[in-house]
Amino acid sequence: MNLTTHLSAVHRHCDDSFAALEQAVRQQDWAGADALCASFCEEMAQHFADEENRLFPALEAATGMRGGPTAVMRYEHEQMRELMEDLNRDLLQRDARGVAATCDTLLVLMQQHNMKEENILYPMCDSRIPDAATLLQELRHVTP
Amino acid sequence: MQAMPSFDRAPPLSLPVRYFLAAACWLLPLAASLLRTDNDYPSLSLLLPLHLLALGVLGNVMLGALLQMVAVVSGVPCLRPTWWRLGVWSLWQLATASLCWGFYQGLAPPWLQLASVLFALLAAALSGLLYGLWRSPAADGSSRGLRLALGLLLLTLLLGLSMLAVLGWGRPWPLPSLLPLHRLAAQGWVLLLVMAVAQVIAPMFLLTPAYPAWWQRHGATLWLLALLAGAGGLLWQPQWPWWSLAWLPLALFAALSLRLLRASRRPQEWLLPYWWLAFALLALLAALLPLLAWQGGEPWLARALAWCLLGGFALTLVVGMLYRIVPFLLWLHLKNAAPPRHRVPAMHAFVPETAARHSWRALLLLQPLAALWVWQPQLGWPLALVLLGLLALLLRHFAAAARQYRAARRALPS
Repeated sequence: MNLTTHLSAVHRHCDDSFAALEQAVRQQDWAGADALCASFCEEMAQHFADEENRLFPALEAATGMRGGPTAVMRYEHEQMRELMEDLNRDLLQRDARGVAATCDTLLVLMQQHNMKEENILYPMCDSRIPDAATLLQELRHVTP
Repeated sequence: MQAMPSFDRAPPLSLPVRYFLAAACWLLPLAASLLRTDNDYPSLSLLLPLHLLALGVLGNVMLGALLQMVAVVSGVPCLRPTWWRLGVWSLWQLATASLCWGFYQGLAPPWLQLASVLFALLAAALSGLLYGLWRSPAADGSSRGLRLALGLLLLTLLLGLSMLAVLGWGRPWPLPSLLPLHRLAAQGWVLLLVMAVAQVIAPMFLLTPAYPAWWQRHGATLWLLALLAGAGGLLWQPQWPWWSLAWLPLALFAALSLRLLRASRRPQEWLLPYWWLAFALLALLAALLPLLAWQGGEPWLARALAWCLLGGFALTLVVGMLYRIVPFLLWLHLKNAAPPRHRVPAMHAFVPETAARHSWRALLLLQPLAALWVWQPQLGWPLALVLLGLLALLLRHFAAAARQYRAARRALPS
């Protein structure tokens, strides 16, 4: 296992939670949707924190780059956080159409972001971060 | 040396949108050309709609999407957006128009000569893009597939240019050998691009399981080897049954994709029926290919295979992709223009789900009418009419999206 496989697995885990949330909303299971939304948002927040506080600084230190790809990833995290806030708001109002529309937007944003990370950024972390194995051990303690 | 990814230099909104709009407009001459198909093969009356569809409609969408995708999937920066937006775009439209007008005029040399010059310039521009892709740090299956697909597009263009050199400039090259190779390379480019895109789109956007690891690693290579062996066989023995080599990867791809689609965890997703229809038509193509052994020279089979690959499979996928990518690009550009934490309308506000479902119904209706055209080519008018209906739907939906986008831009706090 390396950083790419572990972090890609985290993405798939978040996808599973996302699919379960959509399913609950479709079935009008609002109590279930509340719980699933809370756990989905928590997993996403934890993953963003892992990347922003551990992974990206390690890559920046290894490559010497400060802006560029990691800055774009941080910016997209911010956009996803805002959409998750919208999602919570729509859910609170029991607005099924609003939830569906926000989910659709969030899914596309989330997946094009994951594509960039899984195809380029994570493999780069594996090859450029000198103590990638230690970092992986740290991340495995806090994420599934 | 590999380049660093440049996610912050994605193409501007107007770049892919320009290609997408042009693609929709090419549906008009395509529909007109279907009114005069005869029952011969090879025939200019079949080559004309084929090239209008392949270059005008599909070529424009695929090129626009490719320019957007290489930035996202492979981190290749868009260095000269104005050149791609105006220069390459204009070259593509003019080259397609010259070639098709040359076909319409019964292979008129001046138009074919003009087309050959324009396509040569395009090949040079695309070589630059291939070089950028080659230097990308991305080493995943879809990036490898994109590189191979772009390489095959260039090969298709070069083989097409060789034929134009024969027909337009009188070069003494063997046209009967060049034509099947050009056809093989074109099929290779379409399939490779879709294979590369499907590996990403199906699991990520339709939430299907991933394609099997062996397919992700070797699928594109298997298809490429089948094409190379088929091409070698054609050169060695012109009656070579190349389809028997192409059949296995194509049938495998269709079967694997249909199995994955059954396991999608987004049954409500409107894009899913597009993919079902497209891969059912690819499976039909795989079922029809063996008929080449018995009905090789039959015009109806040539029309059926061409329609299944281009008008059925590829057109269905690209129309579905337009309904996914255009509202997202509008949303993204609006979000980037908005102040932090300002809530912008969701994607559905630009293009509602019902719009995408209407166009899917038009695509579904196209298929039996295409079968009618395959059977009786003089009955191309119902197919042409529904293609015009599809054009009307696309223009109506995307004009509404543009209006919504402009209104939302105006409403942003300054």
